[in-house]
Amino acid sequence: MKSEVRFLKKSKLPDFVAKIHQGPVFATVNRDGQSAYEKLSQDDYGQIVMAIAPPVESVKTFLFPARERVAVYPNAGPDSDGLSKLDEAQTVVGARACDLCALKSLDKIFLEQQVKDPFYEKRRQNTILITTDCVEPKDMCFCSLVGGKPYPEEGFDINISPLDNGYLVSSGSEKGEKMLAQAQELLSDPSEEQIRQRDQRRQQALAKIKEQNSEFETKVAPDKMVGKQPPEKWDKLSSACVECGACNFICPTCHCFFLYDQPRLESVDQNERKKSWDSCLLGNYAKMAGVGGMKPTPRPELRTRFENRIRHKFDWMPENIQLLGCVGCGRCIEACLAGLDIRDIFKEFGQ
Amino acid sequence: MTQQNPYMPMAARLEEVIDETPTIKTLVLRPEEPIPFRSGQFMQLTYPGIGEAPFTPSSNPREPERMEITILKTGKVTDILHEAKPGETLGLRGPFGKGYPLDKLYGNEVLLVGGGVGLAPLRALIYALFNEIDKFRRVTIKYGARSPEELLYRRQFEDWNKTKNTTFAETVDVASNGWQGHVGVVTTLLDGLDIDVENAYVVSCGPPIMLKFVTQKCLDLKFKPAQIYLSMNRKMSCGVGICGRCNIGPYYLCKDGPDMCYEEIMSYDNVF
Repeated sequence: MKSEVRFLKKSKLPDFVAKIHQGPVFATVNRDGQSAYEKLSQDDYGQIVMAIAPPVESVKTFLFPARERVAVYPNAGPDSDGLSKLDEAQTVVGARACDLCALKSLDKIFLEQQVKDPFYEKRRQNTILITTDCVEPKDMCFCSLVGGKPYPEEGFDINISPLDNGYLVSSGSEKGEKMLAQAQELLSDPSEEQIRQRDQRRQQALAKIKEQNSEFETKVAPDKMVGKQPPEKWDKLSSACVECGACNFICPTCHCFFLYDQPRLESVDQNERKKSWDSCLLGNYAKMAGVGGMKPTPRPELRTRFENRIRHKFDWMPENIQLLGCVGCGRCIEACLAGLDIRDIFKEFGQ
Repeated sequence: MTQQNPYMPMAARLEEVIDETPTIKTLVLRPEEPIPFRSGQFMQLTYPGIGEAPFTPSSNPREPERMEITILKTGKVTDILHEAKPGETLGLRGPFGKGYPLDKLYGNEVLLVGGGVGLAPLRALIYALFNEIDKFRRVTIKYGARSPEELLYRRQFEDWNKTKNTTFAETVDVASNGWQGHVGVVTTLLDGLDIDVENAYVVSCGPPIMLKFVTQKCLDLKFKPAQIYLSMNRKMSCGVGICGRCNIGPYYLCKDGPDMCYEEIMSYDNVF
């Protein structure tokens, strides 16, 4: 969707968010030098920071909570107790282009299979996405290696491009269009110089990301580079892994979960079913019942679990949903306790 | 399954519990609404407040209002399911998966190889084959259990053997007092097998180690990987291909299986 670009003064960002938001606002703030989402009340919109490194968490958390109730039985309908209410709008401010790429995957997985996940579906419909250009990429950002750019081009409601003295805002959806209309009095026509500055900042960010990843550039497309590999390679690549699962949980496209049941505290006669994030690297992932001799987990060795994670992202997601499972956000690199760098996969198999 | 919420179980009344073997029981369930299913499709059976586990019904798909699920006592959920008493309310989600490839089997010989409680999903297929037995050239059923006491559905063996176009043979790994029948793992029943290999399909269900040896044996007998179907009934959870737990390579057993053609999965690690 093509839309006009408007200029917003730096000092008016809190008013702008106040004007357009729907439901609670989760926005990026500077938390001890780190960019992180916080739930803000209107008095605190002044804390919102856009020209900052990408937030620690991805948008996944807001659409697919780490844990939520998905059923109460017998005889009760879906009833989530997740972070955000199912039927209420929420506004996420500060998401990045890589997050939007990841949402394309999650949409295909949760909404375009034979059965829709009604929890993801409702939150997706009710979530306003206010994104921003990455003007300060982190050292581990590598979206350029997987065909991404550090600025959103589609999939947002409103995108905000930080300039020296303000922002350029543009809409990417009908909802966004309406919001810009609501905030009209805060907006003005941008100058050519401002547009030029936005484009320049975008190119600078892209150039920085390309430069810091030059040693990882591949000759083969990322969705063609891995394939079946000898076990020794996986042993080598996974040897430092401490199986904490942080890479799974922080990954914007990882979506594995498990279901578990428990009696409901609020009601003696009812039980509830919860859905909780899971990590395919953990040794007891998908553990099965069984007596001695029957295999208790599908992949007893770490190297095969590691291989499964990598091939799922680089081989099997492209095969199943035609999208790469890695968006180059670098969050797994940042989160890894063992210092593993997923870009080593590019070096090992793509060059 | 409620379309609105795929995670919500439907109430099902436990009507009868059949003691099959010292470790296996069959639960006869009457769901709130009939659940039409194809043989080989699986259900998630919930014990309220404890959890759910995947099982392929062992009953005739022509009787969707009354579903039989045969369960080996082997873990948290199955232990408590074995304690369930008639009159209790359990939960069902499903059916999930593709089911057995009946369309491929039409006009061909069908070899079924079951091990232990693996005969349970195959029994639904046996009923389905018997429902239209003239459409298959011949049905050969080979079944193995650990001991004579663990032979499942023993009361039906004679009827199966008498059914048109059908032969049935059983074996036990270890004989106990009085056992006069065949002794040896189930693959020993495949030695000298009289079958038109070129026009036959194998469908096997049992523990992973058995599936591995059955597959090897069938390949030795010159079956092609495309003619071998394996029931990978094991680790499915959501049932709809999104929770990610049951993959073999790019396949999700819950939606692409749980019965997989060996040709599709043979190149991936940790198949068995």
